[in-house]
Amino acid sequence: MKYTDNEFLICQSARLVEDKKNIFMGFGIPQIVAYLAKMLYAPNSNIIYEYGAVGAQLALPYVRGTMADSRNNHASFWFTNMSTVSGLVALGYMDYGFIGALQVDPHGNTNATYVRGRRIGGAGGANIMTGMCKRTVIVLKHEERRFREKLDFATSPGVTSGNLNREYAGLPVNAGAWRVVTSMALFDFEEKSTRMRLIGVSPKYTVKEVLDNMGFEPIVAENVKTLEPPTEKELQLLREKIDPERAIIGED
Amino acid sequence: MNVKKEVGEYIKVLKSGSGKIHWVDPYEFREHVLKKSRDFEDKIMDEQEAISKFVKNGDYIITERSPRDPLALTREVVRQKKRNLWLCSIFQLVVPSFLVAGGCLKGMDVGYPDIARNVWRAIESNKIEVSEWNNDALAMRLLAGSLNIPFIPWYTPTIGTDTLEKSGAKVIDDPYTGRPITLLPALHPDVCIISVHQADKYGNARIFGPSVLHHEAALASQKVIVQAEEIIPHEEFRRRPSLTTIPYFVVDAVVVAPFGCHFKTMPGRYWTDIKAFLEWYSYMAEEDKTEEYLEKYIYSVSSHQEYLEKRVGIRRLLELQFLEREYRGEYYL
Repeated sequence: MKYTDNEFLICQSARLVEDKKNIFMGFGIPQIVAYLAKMLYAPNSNIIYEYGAVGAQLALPYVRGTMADSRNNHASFWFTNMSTVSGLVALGYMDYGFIGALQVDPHGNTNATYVRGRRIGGAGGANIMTGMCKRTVIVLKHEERRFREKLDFATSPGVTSGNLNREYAGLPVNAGAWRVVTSMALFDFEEKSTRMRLIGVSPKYTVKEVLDNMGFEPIVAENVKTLEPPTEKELQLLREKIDPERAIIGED
Repeated sequence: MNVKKEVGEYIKVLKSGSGKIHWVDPYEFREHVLKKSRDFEDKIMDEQEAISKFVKNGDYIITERSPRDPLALTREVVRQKKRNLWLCSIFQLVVPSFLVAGGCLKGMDVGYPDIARNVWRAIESNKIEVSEWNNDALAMRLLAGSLNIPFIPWYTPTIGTDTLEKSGAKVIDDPYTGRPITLLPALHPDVCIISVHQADKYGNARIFGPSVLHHEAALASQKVIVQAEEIIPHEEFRRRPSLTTIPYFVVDAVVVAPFGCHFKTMPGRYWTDIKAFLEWYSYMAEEDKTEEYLEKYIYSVSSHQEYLEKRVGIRRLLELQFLEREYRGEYYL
């Protein structure tokens, strides 16, 4: 079955979520990832939004421009506020975080603010998410210009922040940036060097193609897995239930 | 044991951001609060009066949302051509675009600066100044403001990030854990503009649903203008005090503005006007189009009521109300 790069990225990300966990969610692609995860792999997980909706159920389909409105909040079991939700992250109640990024560096530091002098968005809730969720998944399109040895702007900390290790940064160890999922591949972070490590490749591409499209060299695992393509079930849910207007999953 | 000396020796500032903080001394703020009226007086006024009376050129303002953007009052700020405002842009989606297009803004504290291109262009070309924070960091600054403490320790912006460098935060060695921790200065806006579901004429207000920081923003601000969907009797507040979000004595003006968040949503009452939202988005994307948008939706109408009558229409409003009907129960409405 044919699928887009975004569909691959979304399906691969959704499979990383365990059931019965709390998911802290960014907007855009991360929202679609959490929707798919909840429908297929983690039905008993709680979706939590930074502005205070906790345990929101899915109101489908996804509609653009409706951030924080009643559809997003539907059938939550707790309405609270941003400082309380930020406290939940710091306390350790957030098991998974999903966040997009404009650029990522070899240690999972991310840029969500400036690219080549152009302003694009801002930090939002990124710093607390990449810093303190138990497992943060960074999702981004696989393009050479997005993988930078040095970021145009370091919005949020990764496994290490520049030369500062996380302990020095004051953030908990064994938390934060955990996986990077792109439209071509899956990465984790090698424990000792904390450098990004290629561990899986989309069946559409080769390891060489993945590496050729990166602005820095990641570590390459001894056995790079060929990742499963999106299943028929995943694609059907994405295309028919979650995003029939293809606002996020993109055109064929 | 001379604790003060010991702590003084221990605390070391590791890093200071270069961003502006708009500092207000807590005791100076307290002096202002001491002078505020506690009278139960009728504070209902129209939007022209509220904005001209309580928003001055050069003020620091916050428009609280989630997703109740107070657009009736935001449009009035633009209509009255307020200048040199500084905005607390926490979790913002649309309000900064209006203020930037109208030439009202000098700068912003950025958690999230809007999705509109005109705001991004204004930042990258230095037409407006920014200090960088995070949404949660700004929420903590306002929480500190609402407690009238001078600063609050928090985890973001974290040392090692450029966000910290462009913020006004300081990082110290925490005297308790020994780890670095960010100190965020309290924030005291001059004016808080906030949309609510229900208010009484004195300014007691109810907001239903999740909320970024409604009561923190109101308590931390010198002046508070409430934009209310409807006015209910004061006795209702005494009957169900648990539902009160903002007490009347922090509020300076109550503006009755049904559908006051249009084209955005008021949870439980009416849904986002997606068509108008997309129209706004495309106008703000092009540099030479923003003025045209303001002319059509702000300058050519004299009030929120005229905006609803001439630019939206009863048919569309009823439709938006209908689209939100299944969620009413989730907001006590």
